[in-house]
Amino acid sequence: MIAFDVRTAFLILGLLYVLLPTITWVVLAGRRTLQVGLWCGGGLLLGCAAILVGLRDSIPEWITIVLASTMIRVSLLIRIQSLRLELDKPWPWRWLALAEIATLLIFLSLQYGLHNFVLRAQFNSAVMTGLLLHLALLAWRIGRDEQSSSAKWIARIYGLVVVALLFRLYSLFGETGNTNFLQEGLSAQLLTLSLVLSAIVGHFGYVGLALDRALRRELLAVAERARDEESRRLGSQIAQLDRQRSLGELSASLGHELNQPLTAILTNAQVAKRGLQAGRFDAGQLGEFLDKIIHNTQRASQIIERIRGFIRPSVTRQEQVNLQLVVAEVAELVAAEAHKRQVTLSLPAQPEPVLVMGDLIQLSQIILNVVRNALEALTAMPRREICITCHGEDGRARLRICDSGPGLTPEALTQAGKPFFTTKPNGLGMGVSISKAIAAQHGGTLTLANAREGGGAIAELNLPTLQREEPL
Amino acid sequence: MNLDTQYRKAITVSDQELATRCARGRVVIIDDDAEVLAALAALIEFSGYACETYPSATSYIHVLNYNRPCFHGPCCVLCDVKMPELDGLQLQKRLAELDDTPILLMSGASGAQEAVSAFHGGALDFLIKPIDADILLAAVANALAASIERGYLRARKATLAARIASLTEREQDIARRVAAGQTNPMIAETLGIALRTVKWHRQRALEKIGVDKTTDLVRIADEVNL
Repeated sequence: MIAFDVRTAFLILGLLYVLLPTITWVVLAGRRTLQVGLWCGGGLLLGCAAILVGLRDSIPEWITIVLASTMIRVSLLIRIQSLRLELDKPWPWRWLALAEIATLLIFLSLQYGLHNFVLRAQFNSAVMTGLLLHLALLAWRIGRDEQSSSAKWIARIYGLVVVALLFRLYSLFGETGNTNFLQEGLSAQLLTLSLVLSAIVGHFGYVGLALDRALRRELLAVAERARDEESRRLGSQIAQLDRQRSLGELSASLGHELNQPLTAILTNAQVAKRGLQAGRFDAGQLGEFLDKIIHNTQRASQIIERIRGFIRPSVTRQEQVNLQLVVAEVAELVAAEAHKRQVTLSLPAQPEPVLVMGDLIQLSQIILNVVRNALEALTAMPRREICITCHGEDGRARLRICDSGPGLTPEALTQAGKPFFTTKPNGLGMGVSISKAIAAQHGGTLTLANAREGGGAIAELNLPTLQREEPL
Repeated sequence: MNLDTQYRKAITVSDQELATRCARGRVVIIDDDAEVLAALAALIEFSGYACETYPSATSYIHVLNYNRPCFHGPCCVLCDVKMPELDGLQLQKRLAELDDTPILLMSGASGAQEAVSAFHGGALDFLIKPIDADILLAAVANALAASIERGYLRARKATLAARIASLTEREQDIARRVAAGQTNPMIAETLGIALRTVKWHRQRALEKIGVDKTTDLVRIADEVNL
């Protein structure tokens, strides 16, 4: 037979339940979450309640019975909520409070209305059995889901408490008169013992579980970061490919553009050579030809530099960008193509620079994509004009690209921007989608619309402007 | 000189030089790139030809309509294919309607399609930029030679046309039948006139056209419409 003083054991149990949650709280410093706080807080409350129960007969009865049992129920509810939060299925706090108030009312009516103490004790035990059983099942589910033996140990130990409670419930049948838990004998001793064990195993198990979970969270976070990194890298690769594709399609015009300075260089050099051989040029004349050669060489290298700058693979950069300069650069890049297609590109000058934060190459990619679409849309039109305006207002930069083309069809208006939607016979359907993604990355939007009266398409790029720093 | 001497100011030295250059050949260069235009012009002038430059095909057409060239000499057009408004191939079509000036086309991108349509349109040569000076000058020389050739042909045709115009209706009819291979008796029978009359008209026609053999008449009939 187990023989020990239940009162002393209960006081020890109370102390354990005060100490161990505190220790758990300290041990889990740095990994504390709401769940950990609830678990430890629930434990602490349970400890206080156990001490109150242990002090029965020394302090007023309502404290040791009503308050202590309420505290125990609340502490169990808190712990249940803690585990439910771990499982991402918390109960609404309001329900918990209502359930507790209802239970308390029944408890009070049994205690003070009916004065049926056995029934009160049975009711109390039954409620606690239910709560503990739920707690054990929750712990078991976590243990199963996460393959955590710590959680399973918590479940087992609470299962043991449930068994002890059931035994007490059973032994309560046949009792009459006032029940004093501390003098109940075997069932109380068993319950106390199981509670002591639950204090120890429950907390150590919980530390183990919390550490397991923290480790898992870190692993998940690392995996998440890796995925983010990967998708960003892929995104920039797709953007890079798109830029190369754009340039590939412009290459014929760019080739023509590059050929002009080369032609000038070759011809000037050959004239100079002939003049020199024939002795017909003086130094001044030769100098003029050399100047022309130098000038055209610089022209050619600028064209190449522009192309290279555009396809240079680069990590996304955040820098101060003047949108107007971006527009001007893109206009230079498509000048040859526009020329070939006999399209007039107009860029109304604006004195105020429009500053945004972002990646110069990616922003020019958006504009290039839109302008190229516009160029293609204008092919069969009698009037071929593209107008690009750019201005900042109310902290937003608005860049509008309007063309005199046929505009977008209703289908294109709704579908444009979805990957692989295209209206071109050999289009990929990625241009607008990539452009929109880039705009979103810059905290902005790219919207396509039609001008009201017989006008063409209007693309508007809306980005947050960079507030210029106040002079100190 | 085809201008009326009465209204013309005194010939300056530079006029004389231009006339000399024009006599060697006049090259019209059209390119929308000012640098290329200047470089090509320098090369052409260095080689002793007269040179006119235009920044666009439309500006050249405009000048053609209002200001005919003032000095005689062979002429050719050197024109870039890729230009705004009117491109090289379109200009080629327009020029073909106006006169028979030989055209050289040049392009930066060697698009086979462009080259094919250029040759279909009668371009004398298709030059790929950047163009070597020797190749360019050889092409220009060819084009100018073609221009001279075409000039001779044109003059000859004009003379022949004038002579044919001086024939009477009957003479023309008989000359046409002779060129088509009909014998004198056949013609006499068809037209219902005397053989002697046919012979007489035939002789007059040959004299007026300026040929002494029937075979020459046949050849001329191939060249111009009788």
